[in-house]
Amino acid sequence: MKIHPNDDVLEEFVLSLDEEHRSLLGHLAGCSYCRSKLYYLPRPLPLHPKDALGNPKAGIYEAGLAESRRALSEWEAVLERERDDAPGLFVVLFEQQAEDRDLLLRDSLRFQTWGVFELLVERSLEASIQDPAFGEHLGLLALRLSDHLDRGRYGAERIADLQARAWAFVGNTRRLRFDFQGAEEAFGQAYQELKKGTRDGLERAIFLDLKASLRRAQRRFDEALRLLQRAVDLFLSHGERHRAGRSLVNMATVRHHAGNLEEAISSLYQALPLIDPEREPRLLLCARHNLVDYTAGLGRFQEAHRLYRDARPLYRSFNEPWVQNRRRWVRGKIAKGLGQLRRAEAQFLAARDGFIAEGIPYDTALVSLELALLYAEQGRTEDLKRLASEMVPVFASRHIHREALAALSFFQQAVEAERAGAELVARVAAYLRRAEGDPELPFESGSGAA
Amino acid sequence: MERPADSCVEILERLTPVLPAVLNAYRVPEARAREIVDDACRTLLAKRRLRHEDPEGWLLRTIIESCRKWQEEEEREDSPE
Repeated sequence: MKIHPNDDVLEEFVLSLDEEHRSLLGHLAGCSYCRSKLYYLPRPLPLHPKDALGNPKAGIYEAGLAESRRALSEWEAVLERERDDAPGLFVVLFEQQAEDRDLLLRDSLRFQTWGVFELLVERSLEASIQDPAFGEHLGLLALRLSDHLDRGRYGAERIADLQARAWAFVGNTRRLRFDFQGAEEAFGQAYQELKKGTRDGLERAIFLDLKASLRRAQRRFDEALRLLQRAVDLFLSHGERHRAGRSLVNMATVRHHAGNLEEAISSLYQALPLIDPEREPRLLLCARHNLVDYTAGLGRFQEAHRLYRDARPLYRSFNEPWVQNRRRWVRGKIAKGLGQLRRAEAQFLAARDGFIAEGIPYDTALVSLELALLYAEQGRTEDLKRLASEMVPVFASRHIHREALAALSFFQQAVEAERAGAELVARVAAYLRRAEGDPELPFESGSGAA
Repeated sequence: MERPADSCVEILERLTPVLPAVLNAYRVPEARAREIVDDACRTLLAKRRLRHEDPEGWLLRTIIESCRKWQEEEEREDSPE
């Protein structure tokens, strides 16, 4: 059935059920785990016509299945031990000098386990946000270890799957460092390993999702969206609703970067019911925060305020500067849009001070320009000059690319010369937002720049 | 509270009533069937930290895919040149 049944049909269906089945239906409505089983239950495969009556031949598999369960139980215990030992071995590995780690992985059998390989790959992804260079180091270490793994013991195709994931994570760390050529090479390697692997659709979807982030950073938005749509379809067809939700949040980010806020919001509304808040509360926060931000970006400030109020308990559960500074920033945008200028100023200032304290120069610059726009629109020249002089930590940072520094320097000089009107500030701010993921984007100080 | 992950043996046990019908539908010989099931289970075990939302569905799907692949190979070998 491809269309939703109407109320009469649903009512008739519910009334046709006895109490026990109605209770079961109630459970199904609220339990995604049980719902996900419905796609293979009732068991759809017909028996072979020759064996349809009584299925006498199916019995021949029973002894083999019992043997498989026994062997699986033993192998599960082995891998569990390896996984338990891996964190301790990781510590030992990182007590060595960087150049000695390879030797240890090559020469010491106790490190050549699935548990250590898997842990290095996982930590590569975890580290990539805070420290992409370290994330890349971990990923490459995992790949060098994988050369020494026993193919007979772990399976060459399974090793290739995890090698593909490790290369994709390495590609992701390179993308985060704007090394797009290096990232491209890593994703190429990942693809080659995927072809040698088990052909697991879930593994392919993880690869597609990460590659889409590279395409987004390269501003190849159509390709990024195509890759993400394939990832979403694959995740859903494998019953991976949460991961599909994550890819839809990524899709919203691509659409935001492409300037399609309406479509970005639509992707977020698709993502929200798929996200499992217990599994990854931060993803839910990200989706709801972006929803507030994009709605404000469209100038729908009343609606954004309502969404913000709904998300407040979630914001409270992440009482950490990274989240609270972003909460203040978006609250400032909403306040400004609703004409509450003093509140907007207070929120922007608090967010800016928070970003300075956290040492996040790019966001410091962005929120400072938001504040600068507020001052420029009110003709507050002295406040603008003070604000520009307080941006010194931004200029001292090594984490802002050359073109962005040129734009900020242009802004500062314009403020000093009292030429920084609202239009100029808005232009510099728009450039900085676009250049955040594109350090090659040139800033032109003349008209029509950015 | 997150649902604790079931062991792979438990997942295989839950599928055991279905599997003979699946294997038989593709007429997979007993020894090959054992290899297919073992291989799929080992792959599931290797990927447990991906926290599959529907591990039974994943395992069943993987076994069906392997049966289908085996059948295609058989048909290719049997077909006249």
